[in-house]
Amino acid sequence: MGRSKLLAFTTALATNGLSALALAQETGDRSTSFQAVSGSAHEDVPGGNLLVAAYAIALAVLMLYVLYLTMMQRTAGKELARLEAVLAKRTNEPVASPEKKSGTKD
Amino acid sequence: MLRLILLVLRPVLVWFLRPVWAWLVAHQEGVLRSLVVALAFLFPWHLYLIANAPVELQMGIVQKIFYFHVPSAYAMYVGFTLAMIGSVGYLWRRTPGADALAVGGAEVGLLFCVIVLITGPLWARNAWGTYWTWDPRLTTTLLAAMIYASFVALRSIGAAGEAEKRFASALGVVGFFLLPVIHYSVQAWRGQHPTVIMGNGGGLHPGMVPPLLFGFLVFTILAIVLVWTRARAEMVKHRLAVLAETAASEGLTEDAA
Repeated sequence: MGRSKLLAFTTALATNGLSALALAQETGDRSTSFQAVSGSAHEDVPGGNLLVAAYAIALAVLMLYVLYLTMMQRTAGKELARLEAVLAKRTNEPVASPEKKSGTKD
Repeated sequence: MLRLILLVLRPVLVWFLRPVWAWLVAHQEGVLRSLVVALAFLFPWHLYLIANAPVELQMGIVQKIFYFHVPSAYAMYVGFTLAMIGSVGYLWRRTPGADALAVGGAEVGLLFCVIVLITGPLWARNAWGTYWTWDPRLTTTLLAAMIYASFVALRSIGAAGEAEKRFASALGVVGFFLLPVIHYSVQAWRGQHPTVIMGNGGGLHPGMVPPLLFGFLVFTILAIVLVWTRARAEMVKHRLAVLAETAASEGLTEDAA
């Protein structure tokens, strides 16, 4: 039991040691700190993509507004048709006599 | 002094603008249709000119956003100016026509302002390395957008009453005073925003001038068409409201309401 415990401990130590060594070797290639840039940061974003996106968004915003105007005119048209129907219905109705209007039956 | 200017301007307004306005009102269907047809040809042509414009040395192809970003800003000025004229007219005379012009101008101006505020940051992402910076011109443009967004929001909440209309008109007048601030903010506060269009010809390559001028033409026509259409829609809404009120007053309440 004592020998197996010693073996396990040695294996764990060796594994950790090797990992630590590997990590230590790798830190030479990677950055170990973050530094803030002074002024604006420059990255390479494809200008063509931004241009197409800008034009597409501008066009979409304009199209949405035209759609909004179309819907507004459609709503106004429906309202106008409703009012016309009301007026037409009232015009076609026979004019009620004063007796009927007052509610007398005989 | 103001009275003298008005005295001189009055004959001009009466003898020149009134017949022009009367003709436009009489032929508005035809004029609007012609402008829409013209736009159907002018838009692809503008796109063609943008595609064939020279690529800028420092910024590359992204600089071509300039050809619709700047005309959009110009169309925004047109919209907000018309909103101010309509607002002053409404505060002065309380006519539905002036109110319709104010609503149309404010909405269309805000529409182009939104386009400016979207296309600008996309350009800035490549040119400045960031989408947004609190540059004087950007900040004042955002402020104008907020003022006119308040105008539009105020007029969009249900049926606007007299008080809402008057308050919105006041916003339309106040917002207009931001336009010169936006325009001269770069010179006054030394922002990052470029100023290539100047009185002495500016720093534009000759090949970049035609698409820009054509853009101004296209976006001005577009702004006028949109303001006109929106103002007409507002007038129709007003007439419908009056008609519904008349129908209600003549005993058609249960049907017309």
